[in-house]
Amino acid sequence: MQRHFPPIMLLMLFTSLPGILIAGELQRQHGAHVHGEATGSLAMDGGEIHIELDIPGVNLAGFEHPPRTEEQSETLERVIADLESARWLIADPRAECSIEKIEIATPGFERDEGHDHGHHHDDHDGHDHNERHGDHHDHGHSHDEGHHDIDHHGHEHAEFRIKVRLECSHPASLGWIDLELFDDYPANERMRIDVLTEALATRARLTPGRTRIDLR
Amino acid sequence: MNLIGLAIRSLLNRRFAVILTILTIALSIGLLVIVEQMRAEVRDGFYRSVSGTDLIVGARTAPVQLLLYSVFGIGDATNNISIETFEQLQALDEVDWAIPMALGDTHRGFRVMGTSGDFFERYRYADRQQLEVAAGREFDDLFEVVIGHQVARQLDYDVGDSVILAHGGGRVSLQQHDDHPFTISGILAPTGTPVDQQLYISLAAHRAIHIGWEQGVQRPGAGLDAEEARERTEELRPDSITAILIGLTSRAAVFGLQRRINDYRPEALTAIMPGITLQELWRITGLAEQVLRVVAGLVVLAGLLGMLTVLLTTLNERRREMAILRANGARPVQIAGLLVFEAGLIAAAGIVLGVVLAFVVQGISAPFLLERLGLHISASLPAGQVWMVLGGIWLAGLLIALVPALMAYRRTLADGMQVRN
Repeated sequence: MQRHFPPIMLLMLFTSLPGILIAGELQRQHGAHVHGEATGSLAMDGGEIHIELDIPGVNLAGFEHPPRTEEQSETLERVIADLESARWLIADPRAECSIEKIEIATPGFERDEGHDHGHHHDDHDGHDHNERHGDHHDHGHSHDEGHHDIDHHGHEHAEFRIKVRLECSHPASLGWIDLELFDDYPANERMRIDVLTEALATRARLTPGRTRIDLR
Repeated sequence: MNLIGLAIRSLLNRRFAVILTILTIALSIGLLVIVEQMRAEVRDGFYRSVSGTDLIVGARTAPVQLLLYSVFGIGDATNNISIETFEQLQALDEVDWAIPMALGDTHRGFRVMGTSGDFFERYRYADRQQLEVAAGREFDDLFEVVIGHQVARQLDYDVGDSVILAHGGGRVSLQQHDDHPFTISGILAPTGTPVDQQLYISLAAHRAIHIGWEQGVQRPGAGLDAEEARERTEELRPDSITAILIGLTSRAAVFGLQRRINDYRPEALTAIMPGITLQELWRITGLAEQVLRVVAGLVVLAGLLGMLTVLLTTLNERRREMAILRANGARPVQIAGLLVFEAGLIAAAGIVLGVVLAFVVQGISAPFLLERLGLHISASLPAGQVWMVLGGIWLAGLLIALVPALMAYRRTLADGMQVRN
């Protein structure tokens, strides 16, 4: 294997980073967290389209911990309102799509468990979240990507989780979907969206210069 | 006498240099076409190999590695996954079907996969084509094996033959499962995918031949004898398997289940979507492909420059020829045209020969790729886009010929008639 495909080994290193979230019996494992890179998926089943985005908090809000100042609270509110407006989601008008449902969750931004926007995030290794971090300022886990976060309160990197369900009257005419989450959020540099439709299984890489997911 | 006839005769007169020039161009074109064709064919081959599978699940590993060892038989798994995980996944509502894959044994260099009857029912390749048993039937008895088309062809096996599986990989293995010979119950129809390169036994059989092998070698007397094993088929199941192929009931469920599997608490798993992982693979190999393309392009350029050199050097030798043509009434434009025509002829001959050469090389390398990767590569003529590139190269050849043509245009008469010492 190594003998025949050395570049593939290198590739494995990179492709193994995302998408690995952990827990339970395997306690000391952490998903990769790359600042600036958001991930997501788009599944199309008939006229129904499901879009899910995981965007690191720093990409949109500029910080990844519960807000500490008035200014941060306002910023967070503003970002959430903007996300909920769905003005950033533009589908090919020919398909006549409408947004049926939009859910925004902000795990890691809450001061305490309880007031979540949308659904509750699944707290991985949530066994001793409050007591440990609340009382002792004890860092029970290390940041595996070598990123030095001085924030002692943040149990993990806060992020925005967005779930959207679209209904399209003419799904066959849907040629593209734009995600305009770059211009207003310069820290959001890249989005990696896995796309699955009847005809297509692909990975779209969006950048400020390329905000369109091609569905043909 | 017309100019075209003259040009051809003139070329024939200088046939040695001309043939060498054509060969140079042919080699460079051949390289270019091979790079393009093989790239497309190998990609098609990979994409053909897996179809209709929504997720592939294995122990936590890199997605590309999981894809390579589960579907393509390249490399090995670092870890297995427990059979309980397979059973739980299979029982999920959104899971339509799940094919277990237990790897690790071989037969004379071919992989042996322990799987279930679902494999024959559910596995799809190319454009959602189902596997067909060409001769015999699927495995039924515990010690029956179904073999792929290439296995049967290369080892000259037929239904009813007896085979002995080897523990571990390698063409020559000293550790044979020789206490449990298998009977070939069926041979699969050719698919042109890695399926052709494998042998298939039931999960129970995979377990049965490994009883008593806990230490990596068989403890004497610890194995199960065949009759005993048959009676206990029901309770024979392996503790772990290598990978699972999953088909879901709805497309919308794919990402959700993928995330749940990746987050699965009791066991560290990786779930991949084959199409997306293949695309990731091409992203890296794509760089190597670009380098190959650039090199091939530069070689073509070298070929064309070689032609220019030959045209320029012969131009001096042909001063007299040109002058005689002029003296006989040929206009300078016609002399220039003659040179361009010659170059066009050389370039065209080189291109045609190059395409033929590429075709032959593909034909020769196909068996090698089939044997090593199980990829069926057919020797094919270039696709539309490649023809356009070739057309462009031919035009470039004509453009290059304008250099000697212009020189000839300017100096034909005076140059040739002057008597030099």
